[in-house]
Amino acid sequence: MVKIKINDKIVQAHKWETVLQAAIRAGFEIPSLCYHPSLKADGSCRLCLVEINKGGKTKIETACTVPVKEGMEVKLDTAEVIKHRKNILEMLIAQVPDSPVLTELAAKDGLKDIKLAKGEDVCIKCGLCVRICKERIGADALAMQGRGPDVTFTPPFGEAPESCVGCGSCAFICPVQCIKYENNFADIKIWGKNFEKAVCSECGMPLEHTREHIELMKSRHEIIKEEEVLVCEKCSRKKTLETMKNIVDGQLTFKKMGR
Amino acid sequence: MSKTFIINPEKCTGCRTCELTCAYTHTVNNQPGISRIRAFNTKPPMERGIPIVCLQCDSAACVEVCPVGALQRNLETGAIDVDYERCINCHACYSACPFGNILIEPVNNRIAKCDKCGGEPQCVKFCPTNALEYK
Repeated sequence: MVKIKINDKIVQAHKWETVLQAAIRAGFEIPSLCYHPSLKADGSCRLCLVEINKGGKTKIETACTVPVKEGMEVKLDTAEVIKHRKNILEMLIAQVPDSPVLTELAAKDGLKDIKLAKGEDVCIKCGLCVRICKERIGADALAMQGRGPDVTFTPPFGEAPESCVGCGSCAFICPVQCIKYENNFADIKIWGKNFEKAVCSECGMPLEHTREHIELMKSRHEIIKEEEVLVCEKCSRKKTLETMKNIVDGQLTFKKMGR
Repeated sequence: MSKTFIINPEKCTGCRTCELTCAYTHTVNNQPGISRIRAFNTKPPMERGIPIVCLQCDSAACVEVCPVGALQRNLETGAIDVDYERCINCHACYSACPFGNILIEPVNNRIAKCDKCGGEPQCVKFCPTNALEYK
């Protein structure tokens, strides 16, 4: 364990943690848009700026990318930090004017008038969608295209992606909710692609997932069995009930029923 | 060793008090429709109720299938808890559960599962016939 100081409070942090992770665990609040606990740090939104004092030198850095070090002193809300954060927020709001998340953050920091010319973009270029698809879901359907201010996060060539499985995680994780995702009764629409949901093998009702997503889950996890996955919630409860009914006498513990 | 649920189907009358208790403990607007425990009334010849709730499996499909590790076993209670900060709402656990014991809350589309109420299951406390036990 490593000892660091955050706002004059001594915090015990793991060696592998970043300043942001240690601060969140200790109960501090640092505004951030591109951080997710199960993804690698990216440092693309620049909102988690903190003042870090390492051996007498102070520096403003993004908390999500700096690993903790013994004797580090971190200050969260100095005038300098707030000034820089306001600048970044102003640029983000100028880029995406209608986002409730950004407006809320701006209100917290007391940022009122935006002097920069407002754009019409909807994406803040944080890259969470690409990272979740690649690192966690394993579909790798999205990519970063272009450079600098023109960067976009889309499927290759902006066409309907072949490897997309329609899980909808990118739309959920997007901090400004700019990915269009339609989850209807029998189909899912995302990235200009229409997915039909798989159907229950017992009752024929549409399931929660697309056939492609189930195939991906099956290839990644051995525990997933075709006959168990392709049954809807109601029918699997019914199956459990049948099994329970068949155990005739005496007490039955859930231990016996479980895997 | 952590405690576990024990159900006595011969004692269950199918009154569904457990469902109501669960709804009042876990949901904001007390909706019995999204209770994590379900009591089924079976048809003749075996006329009795059977409550079905998450079994907290030892090698659980939901834990294994979660792409972000949001489902983790709580070592104190032995229950598998959901970390909503990590959850990315892909609903993989919902499909993976072979018993259908994970549900989706229609209000916010998030998943919900039994967490043993942090070690004191309220459904057991309120069961009028002792059909549900926790020991």
